[in-house]
Amino acid sequence: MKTRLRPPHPINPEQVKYFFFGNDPRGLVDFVKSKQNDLTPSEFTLLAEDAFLRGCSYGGMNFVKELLRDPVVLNNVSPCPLTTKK
Amino acid sequence: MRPIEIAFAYHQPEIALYLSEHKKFKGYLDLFFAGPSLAARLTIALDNIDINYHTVLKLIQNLLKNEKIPTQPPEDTACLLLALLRKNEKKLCSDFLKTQPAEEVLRQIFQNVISAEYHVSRQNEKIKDAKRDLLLIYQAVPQDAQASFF
Repeated sequence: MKTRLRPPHPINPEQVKYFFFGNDPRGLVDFVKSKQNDLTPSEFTLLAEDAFLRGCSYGGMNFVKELLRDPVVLNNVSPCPLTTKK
Repeated sequence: MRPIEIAFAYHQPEIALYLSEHKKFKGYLDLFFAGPSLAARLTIALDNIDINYHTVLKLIQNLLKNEKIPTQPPEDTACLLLALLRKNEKKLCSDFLKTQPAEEVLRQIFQNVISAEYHVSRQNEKIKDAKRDLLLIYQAVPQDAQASFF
């Protein structure tokens, strides 16, 4: 029986919320970027998108600006997520 | 939900405004405004003392300037237009009407006001409000449409 090298969803997107509690936008960006090599592209997009949408909802302007300032995050967030793409 | 809708839903109009001016997001403003609830939220935000009034105005300006705003549902766009009229934002009303089928939207407002007047016919203050609204509407109608509308 083969051993699975890594689980299908190694990052729980809920993790990003702890940065909001600590008011640490730069820490959130660093956290998201640090997971890039551990995740598949689609998983990483999911993580970046989740962090960004949380920033829009209750993170505040500092989080949104910091996230969009980083090209890695910027390239992985969609203005029209899920099934509503143009 | 889309980012600008989420920002608004969570009472973050400054973020919605920031996104509406961001190069990655502004091309999607027509879709942001497609939901009936956003027009309704903008209307409510205009009267919410906890939300910066000028931020809401600027957001509406951006929405109007960058994309053609969907005209449905007329009830919601009519409410937003009436709210702007009551705030005496004539320039914004004029810009708004250019993006909408004026007759349809104004007819909706007219019906709303008449309906309100009927239901509160025993309350003088409300009748004054309704008459004032009708005057505002009349002033907002393009002259060439006034004859056919009234």
